[in-house]
Amino acid sequence: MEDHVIICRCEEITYGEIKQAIRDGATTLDGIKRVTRAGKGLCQGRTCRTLITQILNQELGRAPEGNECSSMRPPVRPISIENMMSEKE
Amino acid sequence: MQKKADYIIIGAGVLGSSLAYYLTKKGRDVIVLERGEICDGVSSTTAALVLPSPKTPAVYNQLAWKGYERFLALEEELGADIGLQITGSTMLCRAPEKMDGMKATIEVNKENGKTLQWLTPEEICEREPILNPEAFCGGVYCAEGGNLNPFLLVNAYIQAAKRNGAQVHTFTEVRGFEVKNHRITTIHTNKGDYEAGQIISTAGNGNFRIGKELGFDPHIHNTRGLIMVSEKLPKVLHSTYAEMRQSAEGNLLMGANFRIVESGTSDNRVYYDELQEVCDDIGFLAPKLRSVKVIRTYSGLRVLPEDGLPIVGQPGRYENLWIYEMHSAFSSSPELSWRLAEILCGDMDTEAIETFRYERFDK
Repeated sequence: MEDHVIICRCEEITYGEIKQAIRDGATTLDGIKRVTRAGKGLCQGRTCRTLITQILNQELGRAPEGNECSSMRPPVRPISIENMMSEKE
Repeated sequence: MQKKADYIIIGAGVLGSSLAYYLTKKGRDVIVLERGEICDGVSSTTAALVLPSPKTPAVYNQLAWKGYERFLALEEELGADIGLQITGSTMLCRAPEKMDGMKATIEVNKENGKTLQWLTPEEICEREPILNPEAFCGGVYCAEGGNLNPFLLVNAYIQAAKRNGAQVHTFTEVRGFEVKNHRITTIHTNKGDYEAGQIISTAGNGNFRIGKELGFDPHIHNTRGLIMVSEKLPKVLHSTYAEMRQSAEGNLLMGANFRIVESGTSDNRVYYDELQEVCDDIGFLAPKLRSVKVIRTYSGLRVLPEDGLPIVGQPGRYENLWIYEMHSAFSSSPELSWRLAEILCGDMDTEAIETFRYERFDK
């Protein structure tokens, strides 16, 4: 796979950028997310999470079993501020 | 793997990473121990507001402005983007009884050569049309200050420190210490034992456990705050507020509330009532934002020194232990880290950090 191939579609982060983050010391999905933005977009990593895990395992020579999840936070899908306010008009 | 260094820093957040950089810049031998990824702790939990102007008293205000100056030059110095946006800052007065205190900060800044303005709600809304003038009674405007990306900042410091020879050991958690004759001789971790000349703990809330282990009080409160992240938007927010700010990519980061929680807790879950509080406040402050979608929330534990001021000094009876902690690190930290590096190397007197010394709590 070439370095310019886009892995995180929402934020347009490439394979090359992800490999660089791993070279700089990131060893988890969260670590890669923080410095590259991969997984910070609208789908919050749904599309790229598995791909990035595979890249991590490949770069670090790890087995697929026992990979940690990235941190899961609400909301499950995008929700407007007004739907979370206590007063509804 | 190197397990011995002249300086071992516990914690790779903004304080630990900047200190590592300034120490290695002076040619010193540094290992940073971090229990997670870099920037995993307190430094990952906030909206990273760069706000020197609200800092009081005068000596803290001066430190914050010096730190700010260093931030302005940092991208060039470290050769990396830190996401710094100079948007100016607008501190909104959300209650009439706070007005006098806020106006007093204008004088404090004047002493340090900085001109701030008190603006009426109408004047603020002229500059920021999406705000609701009924949500505040005025505010203090400063043309300087803004926000940055804490992950890029910490990464930039860490990569620069590594280029200077620092070792950064992630997923290495401090488990205990050996002490002999008032010196910490060994640091026990999950990855083995380390030895250091000097140990500086920048562990944030980790200092509660370290303090318990070594018999000192870190003199901080444990606080939890939550940030909501919106979908990307065109530029709708121009200034930086305590309540919200817009990232360079277009996401709004919203949420200023935090509460003091129990020292021993590591509960950083997002609580629905806290989330609702933030939504209610933002919905009132900027009604046009009610239809904006939130794509992510994050909650985190931060530290708040008991008297609000940064803490740097030597706790307990140990001759080779330092503690370094603060609230709102994204103004003062480059300056205070630089000073601490100078002091640790014997090139500056502790007078330079007098107001901020840990020892003030011993009196």
